Amino acid sequence: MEQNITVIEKICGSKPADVELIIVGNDPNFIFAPQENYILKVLYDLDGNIINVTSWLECANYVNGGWTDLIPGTVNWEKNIFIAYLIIFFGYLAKDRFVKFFKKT
Amino acid sequence: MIKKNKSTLIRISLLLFVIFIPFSLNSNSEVPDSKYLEISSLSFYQTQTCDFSLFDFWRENIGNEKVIIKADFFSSINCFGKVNGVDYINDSFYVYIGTNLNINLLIQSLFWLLLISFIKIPKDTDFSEKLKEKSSLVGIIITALLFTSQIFTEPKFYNLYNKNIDTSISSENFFILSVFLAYLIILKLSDDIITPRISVVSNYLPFLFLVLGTYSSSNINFYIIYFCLIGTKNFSTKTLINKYSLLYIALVFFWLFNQNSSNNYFDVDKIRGFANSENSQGSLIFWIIIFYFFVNGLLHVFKKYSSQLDFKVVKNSFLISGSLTVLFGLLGTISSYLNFINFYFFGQNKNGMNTFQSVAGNTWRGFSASAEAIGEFYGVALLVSFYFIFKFKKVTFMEIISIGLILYGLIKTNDAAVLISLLLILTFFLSNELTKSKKGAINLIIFFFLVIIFLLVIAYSFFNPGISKDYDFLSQNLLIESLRNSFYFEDENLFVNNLVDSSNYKDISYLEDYEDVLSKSTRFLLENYISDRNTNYIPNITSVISIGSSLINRTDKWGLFISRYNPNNIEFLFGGGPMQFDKFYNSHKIKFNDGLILPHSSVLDILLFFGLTGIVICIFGSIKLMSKNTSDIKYLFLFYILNLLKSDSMLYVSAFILIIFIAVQCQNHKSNMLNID
Repeated sequence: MEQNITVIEKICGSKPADVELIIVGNDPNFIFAPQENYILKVLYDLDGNIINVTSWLECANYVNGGWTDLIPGTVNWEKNIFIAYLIIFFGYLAKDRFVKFFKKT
Repeated sequence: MIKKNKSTLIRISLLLFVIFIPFSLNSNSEVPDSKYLEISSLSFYQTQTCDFSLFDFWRENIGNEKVIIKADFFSSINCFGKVNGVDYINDSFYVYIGTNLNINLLIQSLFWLLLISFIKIPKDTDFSEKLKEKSSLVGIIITALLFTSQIFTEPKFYNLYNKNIDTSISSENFFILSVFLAYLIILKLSDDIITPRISVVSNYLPFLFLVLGTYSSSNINFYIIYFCLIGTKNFSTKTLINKYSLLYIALVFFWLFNQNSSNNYFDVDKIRGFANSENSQGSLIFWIIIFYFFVNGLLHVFKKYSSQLDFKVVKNSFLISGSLTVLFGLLGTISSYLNFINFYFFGQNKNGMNTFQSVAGNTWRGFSASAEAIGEFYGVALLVSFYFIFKFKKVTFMEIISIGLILYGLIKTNDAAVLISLLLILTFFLSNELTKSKKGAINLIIFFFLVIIFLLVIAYSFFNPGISKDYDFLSQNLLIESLRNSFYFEDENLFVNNLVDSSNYKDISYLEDYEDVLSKSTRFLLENYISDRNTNYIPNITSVISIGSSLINRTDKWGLFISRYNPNNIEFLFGGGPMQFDKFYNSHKIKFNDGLILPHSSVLDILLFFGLTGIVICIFGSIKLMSKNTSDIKYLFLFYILNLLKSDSMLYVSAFILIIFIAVQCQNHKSNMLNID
């Protein structure tokens, strides 16, 4: 986790002096205690899932697991691919005409 | 000449482009440099998902033997070709590379079409022939719609394999729209690239075992798509009123009316691309239509261009393809990266082996999903090669190398049936050839039978060293296996266990839940075994099947099949429809219900799909093809038929196409010698 500390501090804020940096991993029994004075942060994963974190340690663990404070890109990749395929298909159908046109000119 | 070289160079460049570019693109320039993967950098890769391309990762991890590359089918489009997750399991790092259906369809097809484009278009091509005419755009659109509909008819499969799947019907559903467009592009390109070469395509059929053509994240195969297009193009009233079409239509009624939808999902696993993954009316109709047009397309092409086959080219294709499958299988075993490249670009149904170690009795399936299917292919390749060596009395250095590689592959597959049948057919062929001179014919026939008996004895004692010689045991072995797989043995059932141990089948038949727990086929075997009508010294049907299965080492697999196979009368007579497995696997409860254990006999596969009607037609069809056939192609057909009895090869697209091809050649070359001069 130490190697990601720069990223963690950028998202979660500076590490409080009284908090020990521990990796919780996927331990289902671990409960993050809310931290007093910590302003609730909203984190997102790549799939657009949202989590509210209430302590620096909780935030650090989620960031370490790949979550960020940036809303994931809203690019509709399927739409982009559709447009690309549409261009390829009609471009391919019209290829002979293009060739004729260029030969003429 | 310069123009030709330029065109080849362009194609090679395009091939390299298709292989390297999609798997070389990092997400953006701000991404930190990739690292050597070890425990300390594990979290780095776990947090930086979807950032590093496969080749970028590979560059940093050359020689990292702990890395195992796997395809992540469930990836979004923007994570395609990139490291999408890393797990540390049993001292190995499993690195998942994103693949996505929308992109796979086009990239994989482009690769395969570019390979096909290396086949020369015959100079004397007559484009006015119907088969060589280009398909109409309407035909292409209808075929593309048909294949797109699979996402709606098999939603469970596509939900499992695709992240952003959307099965709503809307103009905003870009997932479906782009899949449809991808199919349109594939069909149009295939029609433009393959159709002009269609008259010579059969010469290169053995390459179907190298380029298998199954799309990643999909349950369809490239060859099915193309041959369906050919099938639809040649569909006419004449085709429809053909007696086989009419019989198929009659069967369709039985299948549809006998079909009971269930909410199951059938894990197609290694038969992906050629099996229905659900038990629903929609998916049944989809596979009925696809199977019909696929077979129709194959028959049209093989029948029409049978006379244009160049058997020398076919032989070379067998040798090259056979040795390449061995070589690529070995490369995939050595390097996990190449294993992934093999999987993706050759369209494998399942990842190739990543170890040389024995699996299930030293079976090394290498490149293929099935040791039996690839073993049979190697067998055919060797048979064809030996035939040519015998006919021409010469062999080149490259042929010796190829035969050596193929023999190595065959031995590693541990397919005893192929080895025995290969020796059997070769002996039969040689005896037949030598007796043609009539000199010493009787001696040679005696010699042939002696060799056969000798081989069978060796096979019997060598491959089944533990087999019992006790008739009583052998005659009920299959029944015992079937009973032990039944639901009676889900928990320790001492009572039934004692009955089985003491061969007290009569008391089993008196059990209260006998009819519910045991499948109809198990009951059939049991009741025949204890029947009062059995005559002394004449084996009953149960004993005959049981002894037969023991001799060819199929008792456990067929026992499992029998414990499951519980058809109603219509299903038994007409089957459940092409490529339908779900009902067989999920309708009757048995002790084991996990993992895909196939029936291990194409006869049983036919029974499941087409019922007894299908088996009868196949038997009569095979006899008709073999009888009065004096051409040498009948040896190949006989070889395949023998092996199909104990293998599921017909469930793999490449093997299925090869079987149809050999059958058609057998029909078209009844008496004339093959065109090999």
